[in-house]
Amino acid sequence: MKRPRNVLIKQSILWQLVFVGIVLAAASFGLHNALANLEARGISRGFDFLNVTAGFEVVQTLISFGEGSTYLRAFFVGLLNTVYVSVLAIIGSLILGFLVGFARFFAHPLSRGLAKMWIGGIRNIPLLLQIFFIYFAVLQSLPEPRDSFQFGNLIFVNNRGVFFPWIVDGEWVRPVLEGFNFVGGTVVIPELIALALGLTCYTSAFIGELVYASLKSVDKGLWEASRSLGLSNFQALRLVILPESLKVLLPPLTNQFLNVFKNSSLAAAIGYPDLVAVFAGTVLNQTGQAMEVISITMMVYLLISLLISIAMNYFNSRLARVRRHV
Amino acid sequence: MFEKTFLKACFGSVGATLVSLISLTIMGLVLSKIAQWMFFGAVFSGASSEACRDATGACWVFVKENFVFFMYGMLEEKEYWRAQLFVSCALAAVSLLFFKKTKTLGLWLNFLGMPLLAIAIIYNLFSPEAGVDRDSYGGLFLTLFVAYFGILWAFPIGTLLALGRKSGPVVVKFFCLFWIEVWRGVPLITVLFMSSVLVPYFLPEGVELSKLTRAMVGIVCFSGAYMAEVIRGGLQGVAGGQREVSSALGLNWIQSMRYVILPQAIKIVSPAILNNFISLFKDTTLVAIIGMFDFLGAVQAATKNSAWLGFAKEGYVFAALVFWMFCYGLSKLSSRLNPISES
Repeated sequence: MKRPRNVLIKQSILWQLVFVGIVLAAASFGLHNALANLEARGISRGFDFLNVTAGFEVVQTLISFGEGSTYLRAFFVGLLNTVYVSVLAIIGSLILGFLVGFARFFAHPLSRGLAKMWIGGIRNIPLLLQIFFIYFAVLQSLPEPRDSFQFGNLIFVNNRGVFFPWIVDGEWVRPVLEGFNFVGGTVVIPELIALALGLTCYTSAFIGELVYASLKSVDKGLWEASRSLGLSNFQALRLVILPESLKVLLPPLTNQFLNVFKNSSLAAAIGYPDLVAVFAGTVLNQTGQAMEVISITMMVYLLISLLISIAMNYFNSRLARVRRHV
Repeated sequence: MFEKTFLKACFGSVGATLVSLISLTIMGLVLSKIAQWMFFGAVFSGASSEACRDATGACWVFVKENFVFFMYGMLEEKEYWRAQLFVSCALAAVSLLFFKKTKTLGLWLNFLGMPLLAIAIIYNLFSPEAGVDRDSYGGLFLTLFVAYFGILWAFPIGTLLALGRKSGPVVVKFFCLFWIEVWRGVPLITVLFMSSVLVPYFLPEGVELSKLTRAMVGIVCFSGAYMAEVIRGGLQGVAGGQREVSSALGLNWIQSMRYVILPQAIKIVSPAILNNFISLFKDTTLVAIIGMFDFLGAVQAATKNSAWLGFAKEGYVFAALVFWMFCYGLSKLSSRLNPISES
């Protein structure tokens, strides 16, 4: 039996209204509680706190951040640090990942075995554990600054980071040991090394597997065709197989980039001053404005995730278009 | 790709020989270092850090002495049975799901029995006077507990979200899309921060959730969104026309989903579901950041213990081995479930 169409539509609209009603009721119930709770605890509301002077220090800043800087500036410091470590890790994991992928693809039993061991080992260990291992077990057990490993009296490696010469006011300044730590030059903090290295290793295993799968997905006939055109194995790989495999590789690779970006938030666990550690950590603790701070943080991650996927989709569609013309 | 003998493949040409030498060097260096550290130079017996003073390798005494802490966290010894009973029951309930005859029973047990059991013995709500401190649970038990419920409740939530996104009315579709994309777009750590800091604000006065429950709420929402996308992939993989056939057989929408579409969809994506579970299992370590002593959190805490300073490496390597065994085993299971990978 078929019901008249208008009855179906009316029924469907009724259900949708009920659904909206339930969602709104739940939301307003939560919001009501939240407002009452905030009132009771005397926590102020709104985004005015962003203009208040922060008054804390950040160990690594890409933009100047001093005593008079505001919470808003702290937000940007954290965001830039997040982007910085993500970009480093993406570059690193691409290089290492392609290396692993090729090693796994080649008909060489030893390189294949090595790559398989890397992928199978790294992928099955939590990222946080790897970062903890690098940070607490390796970097923290490096010698104190006064017993640093040194390379030609220019580069110093110790448990406070890697110190090397840098241009200050137009001339090179060498790091010099003063008291308990080095001054002058510049430093790569151990938190950054641990986070970037951990993300690089972890992601390289995933990218390696993707590269391998994409190379394998290319039709065998293309190898034979390239050989019959007189291309060497290397030329065939570079000119035919790799471009062809990129088509398959790109979409899942985008996902890996997104993962790196999101996983960089593990910074909070070792104290690298990223968005989560600085903003959702220190700023939240100082101001107590949990609602505003956490919603801003989540919005930023959402927005950037969205931007990355839009950019990669655009790139991907261009690639697909180019290929069609060939 | 090319049929060659092992030796010819390794040393057949200059390039291959070079790659072989590099690989062998890496393997030799790494393996000998690992063997020396883990076995030959390691200390296995003793009761305190004194025993490891002259060790050139690992101090496994650290792991041995802290083993129960790694497994149960701060739980008192007389309460271990709670964790042991729960894990054995969960194992039994899950294994029922793998056999056709016991599947229905398994579903009931997992979705109704296990939550009740958790309330009864883990939360101990029925006899609060025989008190067990709910925040004292920790170690590997906590990791398994969180992962188990996280993946379990991700199923119904993910299925509803996937169905809503695929075939709900406009409003529902939009809501599901929004919900899925928000949870998938943010890192788990912000979700955990939110559940530990924000959730208390949204509850009416007088209602308090324990830290464990709050973390579980966040993890379930998070894994539910990922599960929704996996199940949606399965729904798309079910052959077109199945829905029409089932309505021709007189099944209504709910029946056709329940008996025809969803069983097929879930079968298609079962490897992906297992992979999802592996990621979730690894991700549960993040609860350590919000101050819970899960397996990694317990190891981390033990390395900070002043009686055992300087054994971070041992702790993390042990944790890595345990996680690796779980995840590698599950990934093998997942590739066995995958009909494509067999060929």
